[in-house]
Parts: sequence; structure tokens; C-alpha cells
Amino acid sequence: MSTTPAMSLLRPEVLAGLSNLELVARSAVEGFFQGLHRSPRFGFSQEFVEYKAYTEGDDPRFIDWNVFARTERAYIKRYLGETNTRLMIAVDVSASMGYGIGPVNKLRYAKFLAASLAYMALQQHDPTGLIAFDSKVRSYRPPSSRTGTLPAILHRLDDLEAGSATDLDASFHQLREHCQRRGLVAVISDLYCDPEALTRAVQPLAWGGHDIMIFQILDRSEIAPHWDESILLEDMESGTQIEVSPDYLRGTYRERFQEHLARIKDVAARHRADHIMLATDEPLDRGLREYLTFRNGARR
Amino acid sequence: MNWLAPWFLAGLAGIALPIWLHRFAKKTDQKHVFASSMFLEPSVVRRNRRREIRYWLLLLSRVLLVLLLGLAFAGPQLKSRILAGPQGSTLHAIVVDTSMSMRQDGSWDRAREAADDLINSLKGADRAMLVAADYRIRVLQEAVFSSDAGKLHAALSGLEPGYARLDYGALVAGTAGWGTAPGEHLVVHFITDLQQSASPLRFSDLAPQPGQRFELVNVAPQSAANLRIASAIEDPRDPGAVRIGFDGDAAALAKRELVVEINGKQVERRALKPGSLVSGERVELGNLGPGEHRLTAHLEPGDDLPADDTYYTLLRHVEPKVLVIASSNNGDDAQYLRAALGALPQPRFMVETGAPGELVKRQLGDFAAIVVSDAGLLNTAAADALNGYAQAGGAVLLTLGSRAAQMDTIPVSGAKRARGDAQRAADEPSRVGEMETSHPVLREPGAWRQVRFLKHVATVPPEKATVLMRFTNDTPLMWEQVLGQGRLLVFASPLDREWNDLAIHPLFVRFVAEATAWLAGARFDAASATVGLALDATSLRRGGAQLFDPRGERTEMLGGTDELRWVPALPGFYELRGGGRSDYVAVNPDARESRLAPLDQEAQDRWQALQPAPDAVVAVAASSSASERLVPVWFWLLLAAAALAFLEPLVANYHLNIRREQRT
Repeated sequence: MSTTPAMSLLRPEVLAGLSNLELVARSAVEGFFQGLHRSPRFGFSQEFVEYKAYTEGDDPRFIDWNVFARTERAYIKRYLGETNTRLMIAVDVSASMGYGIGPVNKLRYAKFLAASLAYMALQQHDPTGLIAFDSKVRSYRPPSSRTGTLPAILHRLDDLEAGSATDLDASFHQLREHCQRRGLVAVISDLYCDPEALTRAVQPLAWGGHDIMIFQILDRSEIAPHWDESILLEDMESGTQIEVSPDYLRGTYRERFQEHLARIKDVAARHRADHIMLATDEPLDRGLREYLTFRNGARR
Repeated sequence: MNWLAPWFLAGLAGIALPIWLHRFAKKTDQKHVFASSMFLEPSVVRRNRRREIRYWLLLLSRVLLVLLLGLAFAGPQLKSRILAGPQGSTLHAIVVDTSMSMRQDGSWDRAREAADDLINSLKGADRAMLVAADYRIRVLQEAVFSSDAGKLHAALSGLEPGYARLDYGALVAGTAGWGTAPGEHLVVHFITDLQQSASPLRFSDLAPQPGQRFELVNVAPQSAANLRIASAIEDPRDPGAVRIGFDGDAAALAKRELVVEINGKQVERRALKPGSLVSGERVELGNLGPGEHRLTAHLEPGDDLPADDTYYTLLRHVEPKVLVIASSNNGDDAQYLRAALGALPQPRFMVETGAPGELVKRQLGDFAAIVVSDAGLLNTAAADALNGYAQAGGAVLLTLGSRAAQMDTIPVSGAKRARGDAQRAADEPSRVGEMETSHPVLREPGAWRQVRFLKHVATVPPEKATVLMRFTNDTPLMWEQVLGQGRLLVFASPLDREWNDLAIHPLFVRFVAEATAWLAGARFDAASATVGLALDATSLRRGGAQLFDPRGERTEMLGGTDELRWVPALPGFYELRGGGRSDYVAVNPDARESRLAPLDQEAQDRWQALQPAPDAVVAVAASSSASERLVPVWFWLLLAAAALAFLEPLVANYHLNIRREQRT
């Protein structure tokens, strides 16, 4: 695909040059929609979705009086743009997310993605919340669509820094406490965890009726490390130093990594979650498209 | 092993530096952070093996570099000891006679064939060298092993005989410098026509050097008959004619014609008679006019040795002018000098007499020589003029008379008048004591010693002067000086009869004429120039000139363009070109090369008898094998260090590249 000027704005290295996350999010999202030739305000479309029985508190302006005349029951007509989804963005801020050899490390890329998702969601008045975690929840903002939510989320994103090791069990236990109402949970992480732990983390959410998107952010050098010489590697989370040979990195490491990915995908598939692996040198549009597709699909 | 500068071995301590650096480098090895060690597994053994092998290579190159530099500066010398085999190895010197006689029909082909056979017969560890011998001994190919016989064949293929003479004694003496390896003996295979005329004066000069053996390879033709033109002389009593002389086989005169050319133009062609060998042939040339004429006489058709069928000579119809400076034209000294100079038939001088003032007025460059009867006659201006003439290449004969005896310094010469006993002895009768009889002017010591000197001028010649003759009291009588390009002879007594009786001796005329001729260079006899003999034509020309050989190719002289000395290699007319004129020198082959008679069998046997037995040669060679040679090896060490210095950055750069990869 050729890169149009608008699409080039989605490139992480371009976004990295922008001054704040709001600008990043707006550039990313609007650039994305410009590429799609579609209005970002898709939540206000006139596409009919369903009838809902009128209950107290509903806006009487939306009562379908024709149906009332035929059935003498009050129904409210709902459209696509009016179906709101609660979006909880869970950003992994463990130490490993601070890794990256390019201009954008994984955490920064995660911030760009989270900001763009929040921007996009809030554009359609989806209540959007943020939770940052490593071994525990570091930051939390409950979902909301009120004015001022976006700056608040972006401000929190700005403040995030890579922390300690990842503990999905503990973090997601707290997340579940904050996500009592059904919605969409976007997990942004490098997923350096036991797939079983991931299962334990997302399974309760899935059973609770949440739609789960798992954005796995990785650096190219993690996917396919390349050194000609044996190298002493230090784990960013544990500080463990391991001397590895290039042969190992070219062979066994990649096999193990792919195996891990496969298991992650399997976990995601088993819980009807969407797994999107993004490299930090990849434009954001793929992540946004996946989100849009997944959101629409999840609502239907 | 010896060491020239063993204290440089202390520099080997520098080896510690690269070792320390490498140890340091390992400690500062960089870590690289990684997102997670989840999929990593230690592979320490492999890593160490690969890294350390590479670093060991770098360390090794650095240690070796320091080691080689330290050793090279310490100047190691290896003792080389090469033992002879059971028979010892042999250095075969294949010497090919390239003298003119080898041009005789068939000789050269046989010589090359013999040389080829010898080269092909080389075997094993034997080495061989190829040498050409005539007036000089040229090593055409240094000693090579039999596996490199192709080089010998190649060198032989380009070899041709020359026109010079070979003296066997000179050849045998020349082999002394041919180095053999320890344990190696030298066998000289001498391929020659065994000319009798090539024998040295002393037969013992043919005895080979210790450890050498001469093996003669005779390629002489069956017939030694030969005829050559021996001379072409212009008889002063028979002007306008030249007499051609012959030498060799009278039978060869039949059916041959004599062709005479003057300056390249044929002037005579006649058939020869048997009696011509004795009487020669008189050839009428007519009036050739003044100047120098190139005469070429040759025989047609050519015989088996055509190289000596042509004779070259110059006919000089030049009458050089001599200026005699005397106090009076009618004085004794002037008359004696004029008479003496005029008496010489060849060269014929044109004598002019003048007062000292003439030296300032006349164009002195027109005169071949200037004779001053008394140096005391010269005033400052005349002395300056005469000095300038000499510096420019002129020839001056100064005699010292009564006026010179009054001076402290002799003009032009710069000699100081002697004081003390020498001055007092100058007024007493004396006779000639020591003299340089080898000088061309002084040939009759007996006659000189009969000359009585009543007085003379006692002088101290300049340091660079060559004293040719002294009185019995050791005072110099005659000396020679070089003034710039010119030459000065000083005779410390006048040539009149007041101070000595030289003028009444028969010696006088010859002395004056020969001294003047010597100074003027008129004695230079171009016809006598011979191929292979050094020729000094300094007297022929003043100043620089370019030399061209008979083929018209420019030839280098021995002492540059200022000293006209060279060794002619070709017969014919050499041309000295420069200063707007050309001078020719006629060069002919050595007459001895035309005598083709071989050494008789008895002489050959005696020569062979001088050769040591093969076993004796091997024994000498074996004894030399015990000697040890010290071979310096610093050069090779430095060469290896230079190679390592080139490789070390490459190896180091390889490692640095790895570091860069890690950072990116």
C-alpha cells in the first residue's frame, strides 16, 4: 500500500515528533479516517439497529409513535450511532515495555495507540476509561464520556512510565473490580507472561460479557533479534544477565517466540478475544482499523 | 645465533602491553538490555569459544608485532652451515668466449651448441651461471639451479660475439671473485677457440684459483688461415699516397680485391697480388686538402673472419700552430725552439714567434700550444691571458730562465721559488736524478742524465703538480700541472745554452717536439685505437662532447662528458660531436684476434696439467663447508612486522564492526 501524506502521519516516528498526546491522537485518528473516506462521527449514523421497550428515564422524543398506534405499546427506535460501548483501555507499564531500539519504544507506542483509541471512542461518545498496570494497577480512570475525559486520559497516559515486572493475575483482578458493566477491554501489552496467566486474567472478563482486544506491542529486535556476535543480554524486568549466542537467537529463540505467540493467539481465540500484534515501527492505522471492525462486530 | 644489539631484546617486555589491553578490553565488555529473558537461554560455552578465538587472533597479531620489532632491532644473525653432500654440489660456470675470433665461420654456432649441451646436462642440486668473456667479463646470468635452466638458455640466446680481445690470464684471474656456497666447488666450462694469441705472457697465469677447475671446450675451426689489413699509413715522404699493409695468410690474397674509401667515397679498387703481403699496396689518393679524412680499406670478398677485413684510419692533414714567446725573435732560445718544433715530421707544426705582448693581442685559441722561453718575461696581463688560455683547455710549455729566477712566484704555474739550500744549489752544476720514464715525453733516461745543467731555478711546485724529473739534489726540474681544462709543463731551466747544454744534445729536438705534441694532443694517434682498450681522447677535444659509435648510436663515456674516456666496443669511426664540430676516432680490432692459430696440443696439455684433480677440488670445497656464515635476518623480521602491521588493523576492525552491530 502506498503511503499517502495523511497515512504517513500515522507512522510512529512521525507521531513521535508531535508535542502532546492529544495532537497525536487527533492526527492519528483523523488521518486514519481520511484514508477511509469516512466521517469519524460514525456514532451518529441513521442506520436502524433495534426497538427497545420504553422505560422510565428514556427520552420520549425517540418513541416510535407509529408502533405505539398499532400496538399501544411504547417502543424506542435505536440507531447505530446511539449504541454506546464502554471502552476500558488497559495499558501494561511493566519494565519490559520500556524496551525499544528505534525512535519509539513499546511504551510510547502503547501511549499513542491508547490515546488514539480513546480519542476515537470519545468522538462517538463511548465512555472510555484507562487503567495502567504492571505488577499491580498503577493508574485508573473509570470510563466516562463526559467532557474533559479525553484530556484526563491523555494526561494520565503522559505520566505513565515503565515500572516493574508484570503480574497479570493481580492487575486483572483489580481491573475486574473496576469493570462491573459489560464493555470492550483493550489490553495493550507486550505479553511477556505465561499464557496460562493470560488465560486466568482474561477468562473472567470474557465470561463477564466483556469484549476483549489484545494489542501485543513488540519491537522488531524482539521478534527477530540479530547479532553476529555472542552477546550479554540483561532482562529489563528482572535484571538477569544471560550470555546468548547468535546461533541461539537465530534459531531456538525465534522458535520459542513463535510458539509463545501461538499460545497467546490460542488463548485469545478461546475467549473470543481479538489478538493484534503490532511492531513499534508499524503505522497505527492497522490497530485502529482492527478496533473499529471489532467494535462494530461486537455490537452486532 | 648472534645478536648485534642484544639490549634491544628488552623491548620484548612490550608484549605485556597488548596482553594487558586485551584483558582490559574483556572486562569492559558491554551489556545489552533486552525486554525479557523469557525465551533466552545461556550459551556461555559457545560465546566464549567464538569470541576468544577471534580475540586471540588479534592478541596474537599484536604480540607477534611487538616480538618481531624487538627481535629485528636486536639484529639477530643466524649461523648458516651448509654441509656438502657425498660428492659436494657443483657450481658450473659456463664461460663463453665472445672475442672477435669467435666470429670465424662456424665457431659461434659450435660454441652455442656446446653451451646448450652443458646447460641441458645440469642435474640435481648443481647450479650454473653464464658468463661472456672478452675484454670484460660479464655475468649474463647469476647462478641458478638446474630447475631454472630456462634462464640460462634465454641469456645464451641473446649473446653474440664482439670485436674485442680476450686474454685467458685475465679470465682466470677474474674467476677469483665468483662466490660458491659452502661445500660447493666451481667448475669453469670454458667454451673457446683456444687462440694462441689469447695466452697471457706468463703461462702460470693460467693456473686456476683454489677450489676451481677449468674444463676447456674447444670450438676452434679446422683452418686457422686468415688475412687482415694491418695498416694504412700515409708516408710523409710520399704525400698524396697511402700504403696499405696486410697480415696473415698469403694464399688468402688471391682472388681478393682491395677497396679504399675516403670519407665514405670509393677512391680505389684493385685486385691483390701474392706479393702484396710483403710490400703492401700503395694507393694514390691525390690532394685531399687540409683537414681530417676518414680512410676505410677493406677486402672483398670477405673471408671466414670478415670482422678484420676492414681497416679504419684517419688522415690528418692538419698543421697545428704553435706560438713561441721569447724576448727576441733572434734570441737563442727562440731559434732553438723554432728549429726543434719545425724538425718534427709528424705532426707538422706551424711555428710563430712573438714577444710576450703578443699573448694579449693574439687570439690564443688558434694555437695548439704556446711555448714560453722564460716565464719571467710575462707581465701580469700576459700571464692572465696565458692563464685564461690554459684554463680553457690550452697547452703551455714554460721554461724558467734568468728572469724567472728573480721572481718569488712563477706566473701561470703558481710555483714558489725555493729558499735556503735549494736556492744555493740552483747555482751549482747539476744533473738529472729521478725521472718518470713512463711519461711519453721522457723516454730516454740515459740521454737525459748526460745533460749538464750549470744553473737552474729552484722552485717548489704546487701541491697538485706531478713532478716528472728531478735534479740529483732532489730539486724539481720538470713538472706537469693541470690548469682547468688545459695542461702545463714547466721546465726549470731555459732552453738556451747559457744554463745547460740540452740544446746540443740529440735529445733536445725530440724532447721539445714531443713535449709540445704531448701538450697539444697531437700525439693522439687515432689509428692506434683498439676495440676493448680504454681510449683517452681528452687531448683531442677541449670541453664537453657527445660520443657516437660507428652505428650512430650515442655512447656513454667513462667519466662523463668532460673526460673523454671510453672503451670502444666496435670497430669503425667514433664521432665526438659538440661545440659545432665533429672529431673522429678510428678504432680497429686487436690484431691478435686475427691470429687464429690455436694453442698447440702441448700447451693445452700443460694447461690441463695445471688443473687440480676433481677429487682435490671436492676436498677443497668440503673443507670450506666447515665454515659457518652469519646471515642477518633483521630484514625478514621487519618485513614480517610490516605485514603484521598491515593485518592487525584489519583484524581489529573486524572486531570493532561487531561492536557497531551491537549498538545499532
